Amino acid sequence: MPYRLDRFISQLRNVGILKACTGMVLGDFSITTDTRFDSSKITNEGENNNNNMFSRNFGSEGNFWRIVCGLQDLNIPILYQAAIGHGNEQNLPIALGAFYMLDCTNKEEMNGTLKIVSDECSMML
Amino acid sequence: MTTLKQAPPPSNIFPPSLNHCKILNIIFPSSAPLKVEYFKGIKILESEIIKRYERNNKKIKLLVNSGNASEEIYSLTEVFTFLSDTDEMRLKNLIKAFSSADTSVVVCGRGGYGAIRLFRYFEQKEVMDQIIEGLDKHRFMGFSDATFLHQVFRLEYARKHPGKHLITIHGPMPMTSFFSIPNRQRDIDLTFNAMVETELNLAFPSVAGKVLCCCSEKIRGRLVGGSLTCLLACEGTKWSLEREEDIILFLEDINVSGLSTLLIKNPYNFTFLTQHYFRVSYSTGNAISIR
Repeated sequence: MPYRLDRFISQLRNVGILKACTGMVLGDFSITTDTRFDSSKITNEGENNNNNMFSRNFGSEGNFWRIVCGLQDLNIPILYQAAIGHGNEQNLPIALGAFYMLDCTNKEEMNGTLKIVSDECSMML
Repeated sequence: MTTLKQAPPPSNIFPPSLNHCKILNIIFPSSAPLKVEYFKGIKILESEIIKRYERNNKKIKLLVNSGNASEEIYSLTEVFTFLSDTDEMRLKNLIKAFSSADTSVVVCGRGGYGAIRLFRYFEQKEVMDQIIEGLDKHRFMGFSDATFLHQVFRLEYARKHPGKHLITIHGPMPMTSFFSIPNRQRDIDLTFNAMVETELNLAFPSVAGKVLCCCSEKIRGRLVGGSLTCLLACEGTKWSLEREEDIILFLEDINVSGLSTLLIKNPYNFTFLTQHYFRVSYSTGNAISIR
């Protein structure tokens, strides 16, 4: 499965999308029909969980995105393992089209946040 | 004498909340839920509505495809195994939802497959106009296959109203996300927050994650994205991802597997790919060989 993800990321790069964006948020990619991967064994222990398909093949999910997909070369802030999307834990709602602040400044713990910017909003009544 | 500068008009358009419109309309622009999932989702929605509103003597009307939620629907699922109904009917329900004079919150009951098949109708101006007209009156929510609709709605709204950004909600869907695994109550609570709040910082929680790269920065940008498979299928169509400078790209996906392994289990993967080729017009005038 990971090579398919890499293929998609490569296509995003080839059509110029990765070059255009100022930041990235990678949500949940954990559920798969890959029979070698038992998604029920995912825990909250972070990226070093050996049951995670990324850890099994690449040491960690971070290595996969950084090195295999080459996202570190983009030189933009990137958040991963965000609890959004198809996943076993949570699917947090996000506002597409709204302005967000992506904070990747916590170098020590390597934890980041994606927070909505409370711009003035028009509500159509 | 000083002249007061007029404040620029707000650029974010966040359609009315459930508290204001009092109608929650569940639609199925893609696949149908199993019968048991359908009624389970309806039951959860009904009990959450009672819990949140009836003690305050407020009434929220729960609709499915703009009609009665308790009626059994999707008689065609046995014919169209992976679609909730014919393309024409799913489009009709979508138009009905967004062209209604009564404002509402429109939520996709589930994802699956099928929204990309509506692209050929969206290319017709009279169809798109009916939908665009209602986009800022109906708060839209869904994810997965609904990524196609998020793309179309946001980009078409921006074309019609330059400088304004329509906000649509990428979030859980009642016929799958509310009970697929235990302890989904927090997802349900956050879903209702996104539906009822009028202020963005109350409607949407902060999202935590791990920092991938050493280029530690704090940046501001407009969030776009969704299911990786769907976003790539939008490339080459009128609704491909924006290439603007201030974009924060969000990606997620499920079953990122190839055609060969999934064809047997999910035949819609094949029509998904062929639909893409038709939409980007590469197939026009060419013979297609299927092995």
